Amino acid sequence: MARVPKTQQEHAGSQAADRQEIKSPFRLAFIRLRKNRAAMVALVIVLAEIVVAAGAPLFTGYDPVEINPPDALQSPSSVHIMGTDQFGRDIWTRILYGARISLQVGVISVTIATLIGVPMGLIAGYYGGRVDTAVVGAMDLMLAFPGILLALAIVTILGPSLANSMIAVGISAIPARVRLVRGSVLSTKENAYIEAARALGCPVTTIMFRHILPNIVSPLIVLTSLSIANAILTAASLSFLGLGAQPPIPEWGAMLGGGRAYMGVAWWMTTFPGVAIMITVLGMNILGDGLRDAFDPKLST
Amino acid sequence: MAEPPPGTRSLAWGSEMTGLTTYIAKRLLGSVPIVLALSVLVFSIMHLVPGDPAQMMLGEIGVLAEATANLRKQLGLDDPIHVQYFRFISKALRGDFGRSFRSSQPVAQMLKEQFPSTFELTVAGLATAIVLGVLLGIIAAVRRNSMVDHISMLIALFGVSMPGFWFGLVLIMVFSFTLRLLPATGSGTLKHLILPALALGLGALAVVARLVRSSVLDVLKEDYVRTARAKGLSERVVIYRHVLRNSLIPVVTMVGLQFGRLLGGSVVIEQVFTRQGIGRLTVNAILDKDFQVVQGGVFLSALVFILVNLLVDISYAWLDPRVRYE
Repeated sequence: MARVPKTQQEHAGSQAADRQEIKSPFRLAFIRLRKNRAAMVALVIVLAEIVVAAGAPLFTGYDPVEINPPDALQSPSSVHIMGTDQFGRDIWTRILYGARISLQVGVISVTIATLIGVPMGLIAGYYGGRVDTAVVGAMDLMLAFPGILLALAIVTILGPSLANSMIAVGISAIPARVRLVRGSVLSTKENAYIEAARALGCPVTTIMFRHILPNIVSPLIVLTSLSIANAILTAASLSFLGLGAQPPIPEWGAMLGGGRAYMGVAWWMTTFPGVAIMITVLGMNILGDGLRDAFDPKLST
Repeated sequence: MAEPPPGTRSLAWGSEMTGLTTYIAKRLLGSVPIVLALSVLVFSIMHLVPGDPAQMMLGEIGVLAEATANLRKQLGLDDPIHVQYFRFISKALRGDFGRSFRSSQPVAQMLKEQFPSTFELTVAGLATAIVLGVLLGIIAAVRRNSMVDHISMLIALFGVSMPGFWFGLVLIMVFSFTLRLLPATGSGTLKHLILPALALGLGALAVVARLVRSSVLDVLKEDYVRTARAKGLSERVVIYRHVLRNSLIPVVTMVGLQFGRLLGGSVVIEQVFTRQGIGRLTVNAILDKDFQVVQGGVFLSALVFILVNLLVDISYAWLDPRVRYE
């Protein structure tokens, strides 16, 4: 910008501009995110999916659950753009309603994980000592299960259902949160302002939630986006195995499980739900990567 | 630890071995509480599921109350819970996981029959992921920003987002139903292993490829690579001798992590390909409410996972002595 002598008004204006230069980390992150083309495409995908999930009945004239035997196993056509399943249900309709379920699964299970994991990580990191040892031990135990197996064990105890699969996926996502939060607390709590707050007699909860937690928000947002993708994938696997959503719920994993027997005659039954899962997970993953780069430009490769 | 006297090589070597032994002992001791806690968790599966185990064993319908009571006594289900736990753990230590509710076969026998198949699949999946992932990563890094790089990274991106079970179904549709090249189900021969291994390894392949690419790019910036080039070595020698070796160290660390992931993934892949194995056994047992088998399957999988992680940590401590002094 060229430097020219300023009038009073212009000076006031440029001061305002100067003030605008000081941006909150979130604004800065958003500006960086907007420049990331892949992340913006992913954001559009995710938003579009939310719209589709919310307004599912607006995009179809069929019912996702009601069976209609005469229409069974029709290949994609202008009437049924993604074909029909063995009960004559429109696949496109079931995919639309399935988006509702998948988003629900992702959000609810990650919320469960966050509500339990974040306070646990805060407490373990802040108090240290025996509490910390106990929490870390419990997390190590949970991590001793390979992949989906912990979710399987939980579903065994609770019984197979969509709600229980959300709980199982949520519980298995706890350790990642505890680790992240605990680690950040350990590095944050040595700061002088924490000591100052303590000296001023701030209640422990205030110190934890007002002074420590804000430092962890950005990595937590990144983790949330990535773990929603993971939660959707794990819950879909459980449903595919018959241990999650039960028929006739239009869950994508369950649709794949049901379509497996018809693969030789009805490719559309397994192709479209798979594509739906992949696009959703891809969108969440790219968005998560984009958010990570936006919040911490140093990490970007 | 005492500093070895200077100049005595054999002593220095001896102390290094002591360091490693101490580390191994420490790690072994460290996994004891985990295995104990795991056993409590597995034991409680039977007691947390709704319903009476004796009733479940006899089947759900119309059994005399007397028969159930007899069975309860026989199984020791009326004993205090800690007595039951100690019985469970002492039996488990001897490899006895009871008998299946459904087939009355010893669970240990069933696990023994199914385990090799799962192990074979997991190892094959891991091998696929490492070989193809390393290859893809190197090519992408060496031809950075070329078409090959973009395509490789696109494959990697799809690899992390594509559900393994769906990829398995797609492979079946293409290679079994359309091209009729490979069998869709079953196990035993190498032909039966190719598609499941590919489906299982895809996710890990993507992770390995991304890691190798960024690792190679980092190593390419090192001074010794510049030196090697300045010496007039051919690009091929620089890449294979100097770059590759150094950029593969992070891959070694990741193998343990990925092994666990694949062991878990085999649960789903076995179902996709109707392949026998621990995962399929466990899932079917859950659906059948055959909880004795579920206990055995979960316990064995977690034990193998703990053991593999232990081995990976030890081998890492052996490769990089700094790890031992954490």
